[in-house]
Amino acid sequence: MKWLIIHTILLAIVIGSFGCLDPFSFERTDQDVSIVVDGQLTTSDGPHYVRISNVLAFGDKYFDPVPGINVRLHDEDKTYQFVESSTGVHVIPQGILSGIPGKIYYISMTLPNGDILKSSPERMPENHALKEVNGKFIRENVIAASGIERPERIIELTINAEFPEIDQGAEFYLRYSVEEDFSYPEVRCGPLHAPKICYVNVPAFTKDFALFNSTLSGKTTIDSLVIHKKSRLSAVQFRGKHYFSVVQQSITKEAYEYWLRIKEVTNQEGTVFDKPPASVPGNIMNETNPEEHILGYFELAAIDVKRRGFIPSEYFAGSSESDECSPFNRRNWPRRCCECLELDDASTQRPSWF
Amino acid sequence: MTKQRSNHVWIFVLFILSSINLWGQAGLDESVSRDYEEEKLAYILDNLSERHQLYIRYNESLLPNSRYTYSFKNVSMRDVLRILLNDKGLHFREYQPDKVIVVPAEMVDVDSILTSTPSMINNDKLQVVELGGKSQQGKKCKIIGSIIDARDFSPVSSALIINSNTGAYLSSDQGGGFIIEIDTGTYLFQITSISHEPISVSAHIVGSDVWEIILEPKAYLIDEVIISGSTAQDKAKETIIGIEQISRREIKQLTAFMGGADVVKSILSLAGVTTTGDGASGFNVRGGSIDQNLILQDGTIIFNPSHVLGFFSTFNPDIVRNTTLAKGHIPANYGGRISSVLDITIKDANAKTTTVNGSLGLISSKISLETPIIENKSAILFSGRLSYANWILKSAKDVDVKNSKALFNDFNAKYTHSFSEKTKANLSYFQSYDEFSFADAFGYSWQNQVGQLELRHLINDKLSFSWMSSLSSLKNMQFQPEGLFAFELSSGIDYYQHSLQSIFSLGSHTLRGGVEMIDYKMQPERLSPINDSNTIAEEINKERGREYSLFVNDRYDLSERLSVDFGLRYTLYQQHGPYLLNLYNSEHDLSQDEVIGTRQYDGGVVISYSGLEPRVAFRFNLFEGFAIKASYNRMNQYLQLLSNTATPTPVDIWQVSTHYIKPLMADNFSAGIAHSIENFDYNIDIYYKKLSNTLDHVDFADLILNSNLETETLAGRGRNYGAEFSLAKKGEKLSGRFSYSYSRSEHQVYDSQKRTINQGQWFASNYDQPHSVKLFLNYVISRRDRININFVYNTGRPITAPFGNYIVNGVNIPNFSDRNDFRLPDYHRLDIGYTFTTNRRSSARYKSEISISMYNFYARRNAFSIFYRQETGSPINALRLSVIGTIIPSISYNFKF
Repeated sequence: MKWLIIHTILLAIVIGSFGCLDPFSFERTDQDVSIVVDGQLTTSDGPHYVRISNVLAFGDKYFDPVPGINVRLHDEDKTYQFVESSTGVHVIPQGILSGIPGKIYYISMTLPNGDILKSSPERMPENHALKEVNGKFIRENVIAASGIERPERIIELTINAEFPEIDQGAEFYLRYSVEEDFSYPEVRCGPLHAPKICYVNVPAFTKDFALFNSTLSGKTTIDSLVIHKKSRLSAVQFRGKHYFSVVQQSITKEAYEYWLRIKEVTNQEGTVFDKPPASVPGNIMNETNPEEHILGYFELAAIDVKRRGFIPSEYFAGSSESDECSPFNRRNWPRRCCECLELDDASTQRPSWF
Repeated sequence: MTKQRSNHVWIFVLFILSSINLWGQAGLDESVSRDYEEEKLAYILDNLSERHQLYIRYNESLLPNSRYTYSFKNVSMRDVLRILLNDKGLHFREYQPDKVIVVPAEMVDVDSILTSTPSMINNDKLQVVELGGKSQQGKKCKIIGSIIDARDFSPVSSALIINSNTGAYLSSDQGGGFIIEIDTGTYLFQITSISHEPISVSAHIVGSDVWEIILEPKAYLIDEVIISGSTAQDKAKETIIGIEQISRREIKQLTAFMGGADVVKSILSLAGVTTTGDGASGFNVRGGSIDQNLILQDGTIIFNPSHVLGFFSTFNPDIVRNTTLAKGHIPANYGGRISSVLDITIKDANAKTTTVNGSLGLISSKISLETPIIENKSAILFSGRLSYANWILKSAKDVDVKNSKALFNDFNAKYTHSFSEKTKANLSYFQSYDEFSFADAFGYSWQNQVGQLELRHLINDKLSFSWMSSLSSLKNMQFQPEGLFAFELSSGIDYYQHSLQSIFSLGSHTLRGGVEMIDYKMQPERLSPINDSNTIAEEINKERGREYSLFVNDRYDLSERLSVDFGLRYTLYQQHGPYLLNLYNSEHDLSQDEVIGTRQYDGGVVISYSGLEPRVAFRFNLFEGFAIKASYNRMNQYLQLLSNTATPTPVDIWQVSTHYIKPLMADNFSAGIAHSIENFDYNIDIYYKKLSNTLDHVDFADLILNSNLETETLAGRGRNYGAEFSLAKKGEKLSGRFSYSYSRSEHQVYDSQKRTINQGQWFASNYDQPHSVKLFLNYVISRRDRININFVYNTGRPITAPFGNYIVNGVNIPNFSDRNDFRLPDYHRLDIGYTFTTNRRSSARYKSEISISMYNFYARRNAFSIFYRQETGSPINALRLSVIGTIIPSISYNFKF
């Protein structure tokens, strides 16, 4: 639909008890390889990334980088050079540049074969403050991994925001995403053991991003809008403090339209009311060979971040689980109680805001 | 009472005989002793008739003028007549125990006709009728006839009246009427109808007269169960190629979803008619989209004929008299859609007796009542259907489905009044309603309403006319009752139809002409917040269009073998204001960025389109039962359904032609043969359709609350072509139909480099399903029970599928192929039904039967759609949704009294 979609809507057919949902696999066919450009410039001080890769075969998860591309950022006055920190990943390091609202930016890329790719020049949007993020534990019916639906304890995040500028006819577009970070403190495992704290970043399940279009809202406030629901909670993630960071990104109208289409192709339910999918065009063009389709988007975003932290007692109060590193459970301690770096993606680097 | 006797009671009681006297069986055996001297033969026959209780009918023009002298002494009447007639080139034929007719000797012997015509049931069913005054001399006689149904006395249209003596034939019109101009004499007529038992009548015609013929319907509640349908012989005799008629019997025999007989689903048994899958609205004819079918109920357009996303149609089969689908040649009296015409007529109420029909099923029930108001003059019919499917939803495991709702209902009322034998009027009302909501997340509803007045008048034996006016509306609603942006979105159409038609017989020509006008007023699209939601109310006005048509059609029998049906239709369409027209930099780049201004029309005509639509069909009988046919139509369509979903939904938007959205036009060529061999009839048809100004949508088209839909649509061209083979078998035990069709439907869109689909190459349309196989069998196990089997196979419909994926800003995005580059898995399904008649006496007042059916007998999980989903930490997956993924059993109890 034309107007905003700020949360996903689950659809099911009316005769739910007769219908069936089964996995399906397509026969893989040879298709032209397309280049994907994934980049963003924000109002933060960086780092700002541009990732260039090839389209993967359907269902694959890995990153297939394209090497040897020269990437530059342009504004009205200057040009900034991206550095290829790893194959296919180009970065402007932290502290070099912050996007300035109102300024026009675009990137250019020179391929090894001499083709020039460029993004459409866009103006960095103004920032709009996010008032607060709230979170609570609730019980809700969730489809488990087994496919059976059952009530489960989940975390529901909501936001409140005020946009008095809507009354003045301000036109702006917002995209919300959620990231998680939690700490995992070790316990003393021996007289010579110095317990440390590890920090783990959980990538956002970004399929469920939300969008907001001020022109479609009749009010200047957003009250208790559900932004994210986290199910399959695990006591491992709540032994220490657990933060949910809601990132409100003020984006351009073109980027909003792009994400609207992404939402349509990634949130289908297979009913008669689904729009037929199509390849989503981004804002990157091959100037040398205009017929080539380049996928992806280079996005400008003014960001505001608000966090809601959960302490262990909030989790364990309503849960039947107990701390896996409890002194009463010494015999069954997993290794990570003594060596928290055993956790996937764990680091001892503490985020500055933690 | 035996079946034969019951037939005779119905048929003979209304035949026109000037005398009701019954004479004794001994008439022809009676002994004659009489002398005649110099008397004319007419006097002698009259004298014998008076004196010997034998009714002798003759045409005086056949008798010689001479005078004769005879002396008979104890000679049997039979021998007397032989002596009187044989040497004068005359015969006599006894048609009732005490009645004889004098016939010329050169006429084809009636007995030889009986033995040489296999379509006759048996000699006992030969009926005899006299038409005309006592006698007439050498004049051409005009017989004005009507054919009516023996059960409910409703007119029987499209019945064939065949003169076996000369081979000439004609068919009854919508009102069951026909006119024959014929010399005096005795003729053998065969009257056949798809839904009635055929009869043979020996008609002695001595003058102009009115002839009422009563046909016994092939009711499903009687012993014989014979699949009816246009036989190849019937088809061979009809000029029009691609016309199919479905009888009520066939509708009831086809196993439908949840056991309910369905009119629209029954036409899916025909070659060339498909759907895009279970749960899809409407039907597709020869690769056309659903909006390209003109659906009429008693002449009024019905826009949304579907209940429950297409599982049932809005037409109650218990009150449907005729269902005709024209998919090849479309006569000039029809227009406005380019693919087909589905013409459904509702029967007139029974003005003689009260009848009730009903059915109780698992998810819906229906009842219909007909009763006279003034006997033989006026009557009224009511029918209603109601669903109660929510109990199925409540039994679902999924909590959201449990809290969902699905219901539908429909209602018909029809009042019929006969002012005289020549004038009849109908006043009718129809309403259907559907509602579907999923928990408190979202919902849809749609409603049809039609009010109609019709008048038919026979001016004289050559000329009749009919007038119809109707007022109708279609309302759609989408809603999201809860949430921050709870809303209601409404849209629809109000439309008015007026038509005046006339039929004129002139020798071998049957002329039909008329005028029509349809006014479409699209209701504003209105978005409203619910409760205190954040939704901003919005409304956009929609267009208004008027369509005028003038047509003339002539059916001309050039000879016994060659018949031509040709017509011309002129259509004029006008879009009326108020309207705000966007002006673009280029008509080849209709995007919001290219708007350079607007033009306001406060009223009057914004734009006009017009065109001539020639319609030609011919039939050539190579030999008896074998016909070659061909046709050409040009059709214009000024109203199209815009859909940006995988398959059309009940709440899609109807769009009239505008400055930028041009009328759809089609040139349709078809040819075929029809042939019968013993109990088998087969047809082979080929067709090619060239389309101009097809309408496709841009990727991610936004059609809701968009006052400039031309920015979301792309015009192109199309081609549909294919071949159809069908084979039908008739029999008392086993009957059925098999069909195979190869059908392609392709579009090409290249408006400009920016506005193109698939780089301007030809691509498969959404309705391209190359192979289709259908098998429908009906087997009569005994006099009480029968079994029917349906099997359907279709190539999977085209879809756009991903061939890769990529990540942007952490989101895993599928990358899709060109439009419609892939196909769903093929669709096939087997249904089995069993019907048990609880009371098989055809004379019993109360009749009932129980039907048990298994829809999707081997639980095939036919894919309705393929979509993509990603769970946390998993790669993106493709999932197949099957709407009907298991066996659907059902049981229903049908009754009639």
